[in-house]
Amino acid sequence: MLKKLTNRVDDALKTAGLTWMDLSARAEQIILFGSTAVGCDRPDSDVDLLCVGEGKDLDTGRLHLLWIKNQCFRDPLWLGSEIGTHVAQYGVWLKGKPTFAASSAPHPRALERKRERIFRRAHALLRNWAALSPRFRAAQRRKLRLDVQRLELLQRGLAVKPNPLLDQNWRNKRNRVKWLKAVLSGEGDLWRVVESVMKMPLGNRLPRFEHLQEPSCG
Amino acid sequence: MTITSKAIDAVVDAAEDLSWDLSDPQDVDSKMDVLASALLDLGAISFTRDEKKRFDLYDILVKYAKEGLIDDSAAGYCSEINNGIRRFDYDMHDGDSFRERIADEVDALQDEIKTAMKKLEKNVKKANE
Repeated sequence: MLKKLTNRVDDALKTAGLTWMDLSARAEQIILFGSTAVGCDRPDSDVDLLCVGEGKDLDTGRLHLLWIKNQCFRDPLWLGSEIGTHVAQYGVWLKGKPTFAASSAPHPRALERKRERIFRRAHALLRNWAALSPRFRAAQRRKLRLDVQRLELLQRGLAVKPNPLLDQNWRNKRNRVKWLKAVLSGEGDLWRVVESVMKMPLGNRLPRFEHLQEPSCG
Repeated sequence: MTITSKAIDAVVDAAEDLSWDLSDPQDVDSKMDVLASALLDLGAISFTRDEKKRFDLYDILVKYAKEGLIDDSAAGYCSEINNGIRRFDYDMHDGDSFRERIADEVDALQDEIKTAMKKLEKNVKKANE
């Protein structure tokens, strides 16, 4: 299992002109997170690595490197953040060992930030919708929906799951509109703005609500 | 597919619009997709079915660069902006403002896009003469 993961990481590093040796020499800890860590990645999924130490973030679409300082693991705000709780629950340590609890509850600030991001994205989409092509409308609406799913997990005190698992959960939902409304109804204006985005047409068609079409990317 | 001045203007407008308000990562993220939409509508290059499965502004700029239509650095600036957006999305911004983190990259990306579009417009005019 670990061999399979390290091969996947090596391949992703190669696409960015990096090697495991380079990265390992610079990072005190290297943690695989996201869909690859959970084993629900698709061939086109990117590899997410959280590196502890000093380095530069990188996002090539195939490899996503995030650098954090060692002190973060002692900061309750970071440990209770969306990424902190996700890494604690789903992270696979490829170098070093976990120095914090395997599960921690989301900090109230994580929920606050998530609500803020949903609100901002929904407003941004309402402003920019006309200039987006149908595939990017669908991609942006998927991002909004994923954020609502993450908010729901945070509301329940759970770590956020990787995107392919959230997509799968979404596909299995019977009444999506009712579910979205239930999650957002106690969140002030959120339901109203998210509903407006969900009602926007994906193409040059009349607005529809129930279909909520999205691309199948991971 | 014919490249029109209107489609070139739409790309330049989308690039200029990127810097209109850099305070909101989600707004910048949607504007990056507006720019990607305009570059796709331009029709200067075509994408294979595999490439279309999952692509964004970064992939489009990489392909434009491979075709010699834009400088390689454009994709690099785009990647830096994406890093900033994702870091803020993960709530890992160490107190820095989003604007401070990405302003230079947005300016540089705008310059590259404008230069590329000027060159393209010139070539289209020349070809039509």
